[in-house]
Amino acid sequence: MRELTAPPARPSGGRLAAPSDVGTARASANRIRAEHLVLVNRKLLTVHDVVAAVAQPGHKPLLRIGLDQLLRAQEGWGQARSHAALTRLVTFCGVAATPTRFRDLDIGWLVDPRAAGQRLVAWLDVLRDERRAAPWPGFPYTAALAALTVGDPR
Amino acid sequence: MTTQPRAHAPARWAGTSVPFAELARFGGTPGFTTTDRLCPFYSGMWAAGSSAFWTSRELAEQRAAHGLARIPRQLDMPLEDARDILRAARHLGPWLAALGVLDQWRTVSAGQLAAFSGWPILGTPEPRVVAALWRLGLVDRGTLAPGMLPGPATHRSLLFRPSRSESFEKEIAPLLSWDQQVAVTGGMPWDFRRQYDRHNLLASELALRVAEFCEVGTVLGEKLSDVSLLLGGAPSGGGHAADLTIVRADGLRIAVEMTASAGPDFRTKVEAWARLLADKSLASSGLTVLFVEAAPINGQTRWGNSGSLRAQVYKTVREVVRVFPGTGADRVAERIGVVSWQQWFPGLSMATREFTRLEVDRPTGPPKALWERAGLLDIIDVPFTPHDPAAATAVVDNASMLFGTPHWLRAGRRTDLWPLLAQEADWRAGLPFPPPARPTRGIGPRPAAVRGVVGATRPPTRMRIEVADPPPQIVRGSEATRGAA
Repeated sequence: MRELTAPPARPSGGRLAAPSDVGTARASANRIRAEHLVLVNRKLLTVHDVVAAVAQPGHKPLLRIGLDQLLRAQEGWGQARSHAALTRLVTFCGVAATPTRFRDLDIGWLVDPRAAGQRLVAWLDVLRDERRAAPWPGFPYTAALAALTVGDPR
Repeated sequence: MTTQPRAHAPARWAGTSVPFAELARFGGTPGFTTTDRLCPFYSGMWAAGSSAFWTSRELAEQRAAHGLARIPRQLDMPLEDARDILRAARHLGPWLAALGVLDQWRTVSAGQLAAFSGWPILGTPEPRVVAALWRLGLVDRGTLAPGMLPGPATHRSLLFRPSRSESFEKEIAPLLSWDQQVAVTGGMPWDFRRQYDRHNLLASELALRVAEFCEVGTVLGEKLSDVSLLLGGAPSGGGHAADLTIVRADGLRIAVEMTASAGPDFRTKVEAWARLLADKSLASSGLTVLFVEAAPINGQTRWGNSGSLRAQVYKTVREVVRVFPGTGADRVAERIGVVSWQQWFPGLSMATREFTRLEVDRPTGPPKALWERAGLLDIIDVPFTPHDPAAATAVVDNASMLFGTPHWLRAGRRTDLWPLLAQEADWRAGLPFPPPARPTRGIGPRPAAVRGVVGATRPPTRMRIEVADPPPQIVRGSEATRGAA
């Protein structure tokens, strides 16, 4: 019988975590997601705060929160209101999505850097409350109060 | 023996008549220039009064049910088809532009709609996009003399106005991004009030002619000529408003009031403006007022029995200015002008050289020769040194964000609104993006600017106000208008 000279093959070159670690990581990720959704429901965080949190280290699990789930975590938001907002979002973004596919839309899709922030701009627009308000007091006869820039968008 | 003009009614000066086709043009829509459009003053549109015959979708259905009317086939579309038309990307530009014009100017002809918006399709017979707006109850269709027009002329005299319904909130608002909603309504609620057909059509026509033949910054409709807005405040909502506002390139605002009567209401209006001018200096408000007398040419004086309407207008202005003289350095008389439509436009397809300078009469002279001529666009006749020049000219840039302004005047710098939304969401540091999944694979630092496969951050195409290929337009400053428009 020939003796093995190489270690037994392991998937991904042995970089997979141990099953026990996977379970721990999953539980931790679920807890982070649940904490944020509860805080949104208690009005301690806004949905924009949750989206912004993905930029912080250690908040990668938030990328998997569904947008429908996030919107409906807010008090007063049911399926109809959430689906209406998501319908406008996908229309603005030019995405062919139906209510049955809204579960595929998550924060990770929203903040995907390849879209260069277009989805985030649409998200902000869809969730704006005072839709009829003028951009700034005295528009169009007055200049904007401050230069409208965010970070370095150009 | 020559008749001495009365002090309050100077002799009507006659300018140098010149056909529109020979005036230098600053822009326009090919096929829908002033020479192409129906003249609302000289074309005999108002023989039956100052109102057109209007038909809303609701009224048409009611009449059709009782056998009083038949809805034309091109207008009789199912509701869902009309919604599909508005959802289609290729129709977005025309209908957004049409609603923007109607909201700001109230009543326009098909030709004026095409001229303002730059979309020639809006001036053609029964475009489907306008039929869809009518089907959804957003606009009313008006005609001047039903049954008496030859077929080809029908669409030239077709009028549109916003319909009295809640369709905008139900059908349109959910389709619009904030930028688009501001471009259509100026950031105010959709408005269907103040529908005076002849008055509104003349105001729209004057605005188009000024934009086409005069060197101005922009022109704004009645909705954005609210007195509170003009002074930089919030709109008063139903308060006193001019019929249109002409903004000079240096930011001087010329609030224009069209009038076909000189009764007590007119005096109240003049007093309100004079009081305002006396209270607010020119340097701080940049405000001047112009009264354009535009009585029907075959009509009679509508109020009073002394002299013509024009004389009454002059007399009223003279008397009111005497009550509100202003200060020595900032006289109200220097900020109020009066002119007749016929002085600027002496006939069909005719203008005067004086019109291109907006030359008017002002009560600035000595008592025996009170009325003096001045060009409102002349910086020597009406000098303007604002306290804050940048703030005074901001409106020229901001007007380029509005669909209601003539499309060739929208050359100013537009302000992106989405950063305002990001600030409200407390995303001041920038749009949130996740850290790189594999930082060690990165080559160098990530650029500070947000960039992706679609370029730098901008709203998605469907949310922008430049929604399609720019419509064709006449080159600014062209003299090629001698019959070549």
